[in-house]
Amino acid sequence: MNNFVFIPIIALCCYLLLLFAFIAAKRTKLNDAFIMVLFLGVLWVGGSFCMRMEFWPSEKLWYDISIFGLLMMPFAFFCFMEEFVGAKKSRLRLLWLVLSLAINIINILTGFFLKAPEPVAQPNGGVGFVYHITWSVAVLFLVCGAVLIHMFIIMLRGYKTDEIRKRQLTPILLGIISVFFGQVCLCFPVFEGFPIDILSALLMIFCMFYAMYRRRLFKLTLLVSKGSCYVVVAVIVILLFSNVIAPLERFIRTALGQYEDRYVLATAILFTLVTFLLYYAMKRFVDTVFIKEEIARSETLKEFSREISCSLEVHQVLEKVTRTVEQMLDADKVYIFIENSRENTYDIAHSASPLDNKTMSLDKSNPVIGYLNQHNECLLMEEFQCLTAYKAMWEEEKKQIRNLDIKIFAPLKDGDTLIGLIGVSKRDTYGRFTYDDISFLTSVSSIGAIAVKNARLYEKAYQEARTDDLTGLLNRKYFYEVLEDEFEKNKDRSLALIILNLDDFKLYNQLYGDREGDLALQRVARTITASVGNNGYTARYSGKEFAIILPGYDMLSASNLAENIRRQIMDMNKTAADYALKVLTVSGGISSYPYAAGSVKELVEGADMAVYQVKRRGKNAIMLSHESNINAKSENNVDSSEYKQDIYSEYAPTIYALTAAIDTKDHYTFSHSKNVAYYASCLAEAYDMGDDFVELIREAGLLHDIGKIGIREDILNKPGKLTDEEYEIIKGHVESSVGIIRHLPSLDYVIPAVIGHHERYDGQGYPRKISGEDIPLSARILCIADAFDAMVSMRSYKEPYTVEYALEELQRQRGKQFDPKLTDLFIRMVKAGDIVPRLDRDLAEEKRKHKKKKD
Amino acid sequence: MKFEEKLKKKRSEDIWNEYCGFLDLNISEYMRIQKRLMEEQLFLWEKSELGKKLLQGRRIHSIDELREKFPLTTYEDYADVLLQKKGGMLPDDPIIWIQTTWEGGKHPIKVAPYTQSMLNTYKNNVLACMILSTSTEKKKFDVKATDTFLYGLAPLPYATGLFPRALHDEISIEFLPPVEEAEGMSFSERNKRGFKLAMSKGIDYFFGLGSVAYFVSQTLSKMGGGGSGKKGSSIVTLSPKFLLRYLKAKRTCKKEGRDLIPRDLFDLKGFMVAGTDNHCYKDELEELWGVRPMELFAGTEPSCIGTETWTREGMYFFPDTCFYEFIPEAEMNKNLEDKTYQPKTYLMDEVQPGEKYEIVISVLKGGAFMRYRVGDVYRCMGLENSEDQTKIPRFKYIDRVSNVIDIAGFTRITESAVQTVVDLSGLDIEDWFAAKEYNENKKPFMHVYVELAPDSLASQAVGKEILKEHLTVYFKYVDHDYKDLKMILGMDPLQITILKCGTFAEYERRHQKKLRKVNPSVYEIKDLLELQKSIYAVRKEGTRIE
Repeated sequence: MNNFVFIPIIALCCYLLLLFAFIAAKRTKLNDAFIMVLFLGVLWVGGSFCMRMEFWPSEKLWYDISIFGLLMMPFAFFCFMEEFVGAKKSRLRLLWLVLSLAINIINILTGFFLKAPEPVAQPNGGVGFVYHITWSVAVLFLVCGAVLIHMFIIMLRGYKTDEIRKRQLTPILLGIISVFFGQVCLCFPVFEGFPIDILSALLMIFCMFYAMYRRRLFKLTLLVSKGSCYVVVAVIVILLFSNVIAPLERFIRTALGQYEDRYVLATAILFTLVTFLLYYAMKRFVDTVFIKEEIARSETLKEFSREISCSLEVHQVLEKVTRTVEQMLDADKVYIFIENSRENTYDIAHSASPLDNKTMSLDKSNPVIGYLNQHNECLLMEEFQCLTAYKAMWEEEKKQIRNLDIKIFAPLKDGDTLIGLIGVSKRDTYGRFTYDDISFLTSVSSIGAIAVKNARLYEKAYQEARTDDLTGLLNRKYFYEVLEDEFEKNKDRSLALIILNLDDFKLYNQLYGDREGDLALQRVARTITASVGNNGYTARYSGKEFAIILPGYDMLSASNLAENIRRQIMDMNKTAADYALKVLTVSGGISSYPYAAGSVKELVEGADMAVYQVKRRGKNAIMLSHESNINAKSENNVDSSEYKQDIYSEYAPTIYALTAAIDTKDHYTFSHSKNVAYYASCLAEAYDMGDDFVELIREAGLLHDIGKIGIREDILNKPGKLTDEEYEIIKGHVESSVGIIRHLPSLDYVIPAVIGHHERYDGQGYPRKISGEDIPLSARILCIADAFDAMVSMRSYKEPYTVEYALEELQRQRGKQFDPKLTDLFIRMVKAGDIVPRLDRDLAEEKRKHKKKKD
Repeated sequence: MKFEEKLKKKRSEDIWNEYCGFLDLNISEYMRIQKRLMEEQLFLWEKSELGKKLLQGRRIHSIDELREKFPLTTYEDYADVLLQKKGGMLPDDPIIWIQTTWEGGKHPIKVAPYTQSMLNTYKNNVLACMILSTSTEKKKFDVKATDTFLYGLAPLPYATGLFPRALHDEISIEFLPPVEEAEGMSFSERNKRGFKLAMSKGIDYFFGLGSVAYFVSQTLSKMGGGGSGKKGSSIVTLSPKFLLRYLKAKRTCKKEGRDLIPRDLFDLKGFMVAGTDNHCYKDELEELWGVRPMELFAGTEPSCIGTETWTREGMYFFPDTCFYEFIPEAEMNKNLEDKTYQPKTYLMDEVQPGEKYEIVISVLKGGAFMRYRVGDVYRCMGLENSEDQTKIPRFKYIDRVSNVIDIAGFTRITESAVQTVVDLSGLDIEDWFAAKEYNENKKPFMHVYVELAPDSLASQAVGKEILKEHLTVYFKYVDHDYKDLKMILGMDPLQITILKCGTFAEYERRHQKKLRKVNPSVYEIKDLLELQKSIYAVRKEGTRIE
């Protein structure tokens, strides 16, 4: 064994090490090509080494293996280069493979190109190998040269493509140059006996390895494992001891002197110690350089998963996500954006520092959101700026992201739904994120997304259990809990309770339907919440009752607040858009601790009683509980029946005033209104509606054409057919009627009937073109009564029809213009004599006389 | 990162995707970008004083509402704000004001503001044009920082002057002559100096108005082939490489018996042309340079909005420069007949192949112009193209709108300009109309048809040549760009035809309508000329006798 034998050994070990590492690594075409290079390197160097060592079974076999490795190497380089440059597979590839294999097979079988060397005894006692080179060896060079030239062409093409490729190929070029020089050096006697070719080939392999590493085709940490450490340490120790064992022996024997016989023991201890130290140093090195950070990250990730799974509060989850990302990525700022479905945006819900600007929000149409929705990966802003999608960004949006200095976004996804995103800005000057950073962020965002989703679901469920679905206020159950709680907390202070009860809400629902009723409740709830703000708790106490708990409030301030709310609710439906809606009012009662109540029960009862008193006294007012007690006592002796009188009776004078007004202008309309009121109230009564409703219908009948006051008399009394324009004017009377009535809050309950009395059951009517049951019942009743009277009475443009004809017409329009059920009932009633048609014979007679006089 | 740095640090495929990636968009992705940026622009514009002024108190909430309620605009609508450069009234602060001729004889100039964001987009788009001009197929291009660029453009404050400035910010391409130097030179000085430098450094890119490029190319031929006395001295300045090439080229030319043309000396990588009438020059330019010019559309108001690709088969509009609307030909004609008529517009995803459209733009990124009629007409060539693998509509530039006569991208002659010239000339011209026509060499010219007053026939010298001389003098006086046509391109773009007295009146009598003064249709012109063959005469008072 000569002095340089360690070079092939080291080369062999390196090849083997890389080979095993790459076999274990992720398989790609390029990795496979590199594995092929390594494998052939192992055959070449290993075969050559075994031959020189004259290992069993024979030098010929080792020679054949070695030369096979060497001759196939150009083809392996060729494959590697094709993959590295990403070039299309050449048609010559197969030819090169066949040729390379062919020369090998021929050579193995015949030794035609290069015979196995003959062992020659060296003067120093060793064995040398002498090659007999003939002209035929040129064939080998030719084939290998052709393959290598082709490889060079591919490489140069790649080299020209762009700067990046150029830089990636540079190490490989250096490797090739080193191999070239290695081979050239063999010709110089200086290198005789020194395996410079093997060393240069090893250098080439390292260059290739480096080139692949630069292209991030594998992770270094995946190649470095405990096993690799063992192998490397073993190789170093063997090489070390094989070279130093003799001088060491001499040194120990001299040093130990009389203990010379313990030489073996000393050597063994030293050997063990050195091995241990080396292993330890190697492991420390590997851990520090390659794995330490990864271990730390995986530990953090584990801890993060554990912590986050224990938390069900959104805020806590976001806090943990932020903290983890901030620490591990050395981030300057971390922002978490969470979806805001109402605004169609993603708003900053949390950030690492409370002083951070959280006003920014990303619109759902923002290209960043679009990208994250489509891809399940992190988005580096630097890369995103180069995509076409970035062109759609608003300048303001770009500025916002620039201001926050967000360099990377990670999606928080629940399946395919983007529930939020993490935005990270980097502290260091380059602000770059490594592959590991991105992997870590991806893991955190995946775990975080699930946690955020769960926490949000939990919070939603928590909210739902405590709030009322419709209004979003506290529900009755939770109201009592809060009240008890606050009562305990404010024992030394004061606590007020307001109960607000909507007046005539049942009627409101009847008039406009439940949907409109629900909307009204929501509006009321919003009004109350806006007024109370953070000063108290608002609850939906019952269907149409709201309760407000006001810690620290006395009677006066609670009363002021309640009065303020009452006024706002009363003004709520007065806007132009709501012209067809009845004005809503509330009756409110206030009770307060310690002024008027000593316990929770007393507090609630007091407020309830006050509400009751307000209702009795005419509604739409606020009363304090102690006032209600006084009133209650004083009223005990009074006959309460006077409060129960018909609520509509007080409006009678107004109605008569209005109908009298129309009478002066158009007597037809006046008598027509009276008739309609009669027919409609009869029909409503027969339809089993309550007394209130019947009264409502009667008043609606009287007022339904009040808008005709505003129409010119010549149009109203025009004998012939109306022009289109005139007809449009006539149609406008419905809205005019409503316009008049809405100024009389006491009569506004008739609006639905008035506004709908020209709607048709099939949706072809006016003004709203609503159909079927969408038309309020009162309007459907009024419609039949109106049409019937119009037919049987005398009009300026027609003589009265007979009752029979009118009933037939009703029958014909049943289901088209009129509600079928009501029509049937009406016809039955007329036929049975329950409704007596009011025929205007007198009026007709009068008109005829008047005409004669004129003539 | 500057473009030059990107060339070093990024893969060519990534650079292509960044700048030319818009070619891979499908129409819905394209429209998404358009509409999103238009929403931004609408938001900015509506808030600005200019927007408030033009909207006259109306509130606009969406693009659809804008298209429905806000009428199309022309420069007149912006003139009071823009000509006084009232930057504070605009949607965003202008960085630079670009100037151009407005309407010869009536308004001397018009200016357009460019915001920072518009300039950034402009830079990206001109780089895309540059990349595409060198490309031979998708994702294959050849741009280097060491390339040279022959400067054939008008300097700032004209829009073409932005081009070298924008490139200069991104890449250290060498302009021949250098931009600062060129800006102080006259057109011919620039050309001479540019070619002199090109002889030692070569030319990689050339960009100019089609007509100018043609003229410059011919100048080169003359410089190379024409017996200039200084030929000997110019040869001395050649680099050895060029000297060799020059001598080789000379030998070839001699053998083929032709003049030296640019392609004998230069291997252009990219050749770009803009402006009107490029179709008249493209073939010859290709013959002269060996590379077919790539057409791009850049104007003062819209900036650089469209480019052809390696196929040279129609232009694609950049999605992030302007919001595009298209007026179909029928609507355009309706509007020509009735100025008060508001023509309907269609969006990019509504255009039909083969149809001619007048383009309407809203400049994005804080620009001033909203629903602005640039006055250019395009034809939609197709909605997809398998050759360059695009899925967005592509267009071909046709000409200016028909009430404007633009010769070789230099002039904007309108009815009022011609009328001013006629009035100033003092010639007794009874009636006239003008039309843009093309000669046998496919080169454009303005054809003015005049009818002289019968009285003047006996009292004044009114020969065709005299009329032409007279009118040319006043056209030059009224429209400075007209003067440049002669000065720069050596073109004489005016042709006169004297019509028989009474022809216009007869036409009006027979057709019951007046002939359009500028660019009447070819059929109308034919009818009118045919009419001259019939017998009619005109009395002094203009009453017809037969």
